[in-house]
Amino acid sequence: MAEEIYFWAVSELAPLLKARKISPVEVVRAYLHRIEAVNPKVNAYLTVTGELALRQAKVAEQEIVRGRYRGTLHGVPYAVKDLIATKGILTTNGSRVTEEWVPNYESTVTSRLNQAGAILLGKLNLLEFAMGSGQVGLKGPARNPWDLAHSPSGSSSGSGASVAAGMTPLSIGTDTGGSIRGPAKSCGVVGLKPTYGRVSRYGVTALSWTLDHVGPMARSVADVASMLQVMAGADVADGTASREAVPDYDKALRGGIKGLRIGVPTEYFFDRVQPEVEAALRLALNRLKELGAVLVDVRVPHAGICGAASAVILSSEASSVHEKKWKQQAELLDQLVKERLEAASFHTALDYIKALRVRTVLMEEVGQLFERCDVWMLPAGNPAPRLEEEIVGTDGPGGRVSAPRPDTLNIANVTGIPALVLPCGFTAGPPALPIGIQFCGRAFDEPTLFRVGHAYQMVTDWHLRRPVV
Amino acid sequence: MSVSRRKLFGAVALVAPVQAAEPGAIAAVAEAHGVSLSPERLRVIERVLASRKAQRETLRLFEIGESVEPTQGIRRK
Repeated sequence: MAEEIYFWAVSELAPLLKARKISPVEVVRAYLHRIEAVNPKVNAYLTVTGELALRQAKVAEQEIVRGRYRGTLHGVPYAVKDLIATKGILTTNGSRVTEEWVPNYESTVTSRLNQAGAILLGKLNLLEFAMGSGQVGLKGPARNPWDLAHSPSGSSSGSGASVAAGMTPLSIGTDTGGSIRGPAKSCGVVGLKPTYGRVSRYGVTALSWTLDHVGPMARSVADVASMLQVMAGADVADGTASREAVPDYDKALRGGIKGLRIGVPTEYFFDRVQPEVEAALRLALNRLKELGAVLVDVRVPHAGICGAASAVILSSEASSVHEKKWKQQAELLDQLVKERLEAASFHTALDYIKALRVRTVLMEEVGQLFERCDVWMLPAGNPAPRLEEEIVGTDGPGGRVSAPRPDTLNIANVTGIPALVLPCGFTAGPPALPIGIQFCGRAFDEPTLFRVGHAYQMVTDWHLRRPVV
Repeated sequence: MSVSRRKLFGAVALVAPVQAAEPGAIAAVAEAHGVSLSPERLRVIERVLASRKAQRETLRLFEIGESVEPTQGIRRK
């Protein structure tokens, strides 16, 4: 392989690690050097656990040499959004309120990855408490590796930027209203918001209990599938983690998509999509048609109410999560965080309950949609904005107020269905910025999403392009 | 008489969701109820109300069948 080691896919790296043709120590050193070279520009990492990573790499090396190979992720590095608890390692939530917090417990997702032999490289930059502005941040914002003046999108900004820039092959993000899929789209990588309850949220700082999801990000669908294989499953520490059996996601990649029905929305979801992005999405759909997929018109009659319901649920629950901080340490909070928490003061109990009932309506309509198709295609949003155009709250230039998130993303949070974003093109530029396509599936049908995404990546090379940082 | 901030805003939100967005409305109501709000706080509140007014109205005006219940977790078919 001519490409630098830090851009190798896990699907390429793992066999070499297993066969002892490369050592985990060599891999980790390559990534640590990459981080040292590039992080000052991209600012994806808040904490780099270099010494720990090398120690874990040596342990992994010894285990593999002795024939105790744990599986695909053994000796493979990963990094995690800094609102996921890592025992003994600083976990800041991107906030001055918790900038010195060192958890004395481990989140379930990192515990599972560690048990699988994966090696933690560090903690990643994010929007404060997963809802802050895109410009401030504890140590400044993460930047888009494709153009450093642009945002990687958030709130899992570091998770997207680090993967795109070759600073980790795998990362973990969280998604309450698009916070994995937005960065995946903006950074030209793959991001999965799994089905609600597919991955345990134990040890993950909550934003909204009804809408929160934890998920993997990588440079290919195959690598995301490998990561979900380890992360998914029931958890006694999280009552919402489902007991649904975890299928073989690697097997799910194969089989092709002949006859697969892809639902394409006929109204609403393309309303705010830029022409260049829509052209790329339609081209991607044609590519899938050439592979044998069938395109079907679909609609969600009340899609337009999703944003309002999501906003009420999110701000109400977030306000409850952070009530104490808001009352006692408001001066330490990001302006947009304060604004979003304040909004909940103007919701009544009736508003909140109605929003939950609207959720039922949307679940019913989306359920009917999946009687007509096997996966549902949606836009993933417009290309990344410039950093100074990011939402900042009332202190923005000219007093701009925060705009509602695109409903192409939060419909999957509100209904709990899985949603996968992968790259499908670039804007003409300059600068040339990634364009992403989104596929949603039935509950717990991540396998079909992986099958579609993998089939697309086998005939395209968008996911093989690399930014020059 | 003084009331908690939450009760104050809840009352304003329920009774006058549109009027609450008018400049000075919150400050006037707060003063009448003995609740003191800093200028910065008022600025945030008024901008929040203005920016989310359309969304709030959309949700409150949406007609929903009486039999529709909130769903715990997710639905499966």
